[in-house]
Amino acid sequence: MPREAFDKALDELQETIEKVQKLVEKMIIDSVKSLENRDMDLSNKVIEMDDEVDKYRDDLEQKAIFLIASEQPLATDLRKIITTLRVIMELERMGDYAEGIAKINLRIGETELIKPLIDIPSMSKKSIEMMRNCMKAYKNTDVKLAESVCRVDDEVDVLKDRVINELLQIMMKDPSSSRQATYLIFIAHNLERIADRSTNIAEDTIFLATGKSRSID
Amino acid sequence: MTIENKVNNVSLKVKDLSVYYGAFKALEEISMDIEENQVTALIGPSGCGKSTLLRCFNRMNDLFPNTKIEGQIIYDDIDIYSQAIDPVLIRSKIGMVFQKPNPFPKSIYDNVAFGLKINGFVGNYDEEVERALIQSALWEEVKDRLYDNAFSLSGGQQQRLCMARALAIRPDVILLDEPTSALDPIATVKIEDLVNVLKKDYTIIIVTHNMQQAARVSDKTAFLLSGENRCGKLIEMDTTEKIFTTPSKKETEDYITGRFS
Amino acid sequence: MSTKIDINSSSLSKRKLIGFLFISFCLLGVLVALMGLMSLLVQVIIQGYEWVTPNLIFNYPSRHPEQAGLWAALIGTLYMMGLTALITVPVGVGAAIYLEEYAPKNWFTSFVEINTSNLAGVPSIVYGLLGLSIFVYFLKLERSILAGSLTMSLLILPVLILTSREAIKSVPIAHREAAFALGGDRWQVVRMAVLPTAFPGILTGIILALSRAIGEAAPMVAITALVYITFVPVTPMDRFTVLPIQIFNWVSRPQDEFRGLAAGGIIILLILLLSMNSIAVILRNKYQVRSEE
Repeated sequence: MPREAFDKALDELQETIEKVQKLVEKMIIDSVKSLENRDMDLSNKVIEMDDEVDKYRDDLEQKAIFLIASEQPLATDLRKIITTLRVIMELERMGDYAEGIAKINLRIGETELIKPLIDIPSMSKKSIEMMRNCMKAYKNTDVKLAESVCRVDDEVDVLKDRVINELLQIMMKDPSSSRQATYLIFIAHNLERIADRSTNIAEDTIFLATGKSRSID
Repeated sequence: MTIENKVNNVSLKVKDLSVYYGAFKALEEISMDIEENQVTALIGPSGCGKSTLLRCFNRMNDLFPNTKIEGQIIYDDIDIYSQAIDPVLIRSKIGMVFQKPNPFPKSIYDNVAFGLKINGFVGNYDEEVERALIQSALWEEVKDRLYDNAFSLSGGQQQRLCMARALAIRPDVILLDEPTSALDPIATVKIEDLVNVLKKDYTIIIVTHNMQQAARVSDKTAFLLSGENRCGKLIEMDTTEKIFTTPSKKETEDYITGRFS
Repeated sequence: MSTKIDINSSSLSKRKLIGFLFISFCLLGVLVALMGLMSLLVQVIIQGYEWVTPNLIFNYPSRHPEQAGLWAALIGTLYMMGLTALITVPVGVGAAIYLEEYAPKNWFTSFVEINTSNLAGVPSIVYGLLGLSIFVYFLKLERSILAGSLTMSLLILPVLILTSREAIKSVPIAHREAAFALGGDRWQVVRMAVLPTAFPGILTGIILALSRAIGEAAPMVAITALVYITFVPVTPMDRFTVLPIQIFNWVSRPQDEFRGLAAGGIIILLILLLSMNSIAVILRNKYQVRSEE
């Protein structure tokens, strides 16, 4: 098979991406779990995992850049490598947001939560679902699946607005709760950004398939 | 940022061109437009007929025995293969630079002046030689040794000398047959820079094996492929950007990504 | 795990021995050839050197050895050579150009080519007899220097055509292509791109062909009928003699001195041949431009 070594290198890049995807998924799930269960140790573990994600990112970037220099990819090969670089960046940012949630949990500390968590876990579940779907669409270059991911983003936005409204109400009623409420608003914001990053990955997938850079509403 | 897509005049129009060497069909019904003041690249695997096609533009294939041409190549509103046209007339308007630098065993000056002499030029030879050498970015390097033998130049310089020789007679079109495949990377870059400058005044058609070179220098790219019968066909022709980022045909994609077996 | 270099490899020693034997054999061949040549030259020089005097060169033949000279034969040779050159060069080079550049590749051209090669190997006496019947008798040119030159032309023409063709063939196709691509027609390409590069080869071929002509005795024997000439030819229709014949004439005389004279004549002939070959080499080196990197 011609260019066997190159294809193998591309496969290795894909493997790294899938490793990072698993890591980031765990970070998101665990960061929200640590918030729900007031588990500071779990939060610390999540923060450590971010270093691992960064290492993978650096490694993949280096490999991809060298492939561009040595293999001089064209057409699909070129779009594949470019998309790989974009996707790893999105995943790394998602990891940062998950780390952010864990750090906020540490800030909130051992205190009780001012309200039971309903929408935040919902947002987390939806974000994870979006992430899984967009990564599947990326792996299989499935344009239809990618487009469907972008539609789910709206639902996440609705949830975020609901969370913020609720917390604002609570803050107005009880000013002493404003600190924790603000922290919780940040967490909702992070989860929404995670969902947003998935839509970016979906758009990158469409670029990979068609060569057209296109924003989808 | 919009990318300008100016529509140029068509310099050469190929219509259903087929080339036969005796009974063997080398090219089948090629049709394409070559636009003025642009660089068109012809790419394809060995034996696909791209050099054959290139040599049709200045009727160099006529020099081989038993060559038969069907179809037309329209240049300046005339079919260059019509009975009334003498190939000699075409070649002074459509020049060629070959793969291996082939200067004459004469002085640098005489090499450049050769085409002028052949075409019966009456006028200031010194001026024309200087102009041609300036156009091929060689003047500064040779102006103090115009009467040295051409073979005292390096390979890259010799190739630029061959370009000057072709430019001296002021052609409209320049055909480049893998002009840098025998040169080192530095000489290659110089020639590519030259092509970029020359295309403002000339129409250029280049045959190359180097994908990246085609991507770098050309505005339009045509991909040719021959089947089992070794007959070359035009598979795809489009803007260079499109061919190298999102080609339409799978054969094109396979060839440029090196996945041809 | 690497296999080390075997310094004492026996197969290498054997190969070297075979190589040495082969070279020695070749060297032996060269020495034998040189010896033969040298002994011939030495013998001639010993026999003839005292006879190489101005008399030898400037006098006419005579019954008295001390007064005999080569003048008539020398001028005859040079005159004949000049006339032959005048005839063969345009015809030979022209034929070579036609066959290489213009002739279509068909059975007729092949026929001409094969015959040209064959004619180059025909014994010279055959040409002598041919010349005799056509030029001397049929065209009634008598035993003139014109007839001699025409006969010689027939002799060296095939060789000249062959060497000129080789010289033209050796011009790289790239030169021709470049000239055509600049808009030259075939004659321009031949004249301006092919011939200048082929020139040294053609020149060498001409000189070598002519130097063969000088030494050929047989055809001239047929044409001149060994008549005793004591004058130089002036017009092409005059009678003549050439160096080989005069030498032959002396050798067949009974007196010993004439054999010395003959040796002296041979020395003169060899000097002439050597000069011509040297000129050929000098000219070839002078005009040999680098046509390949």
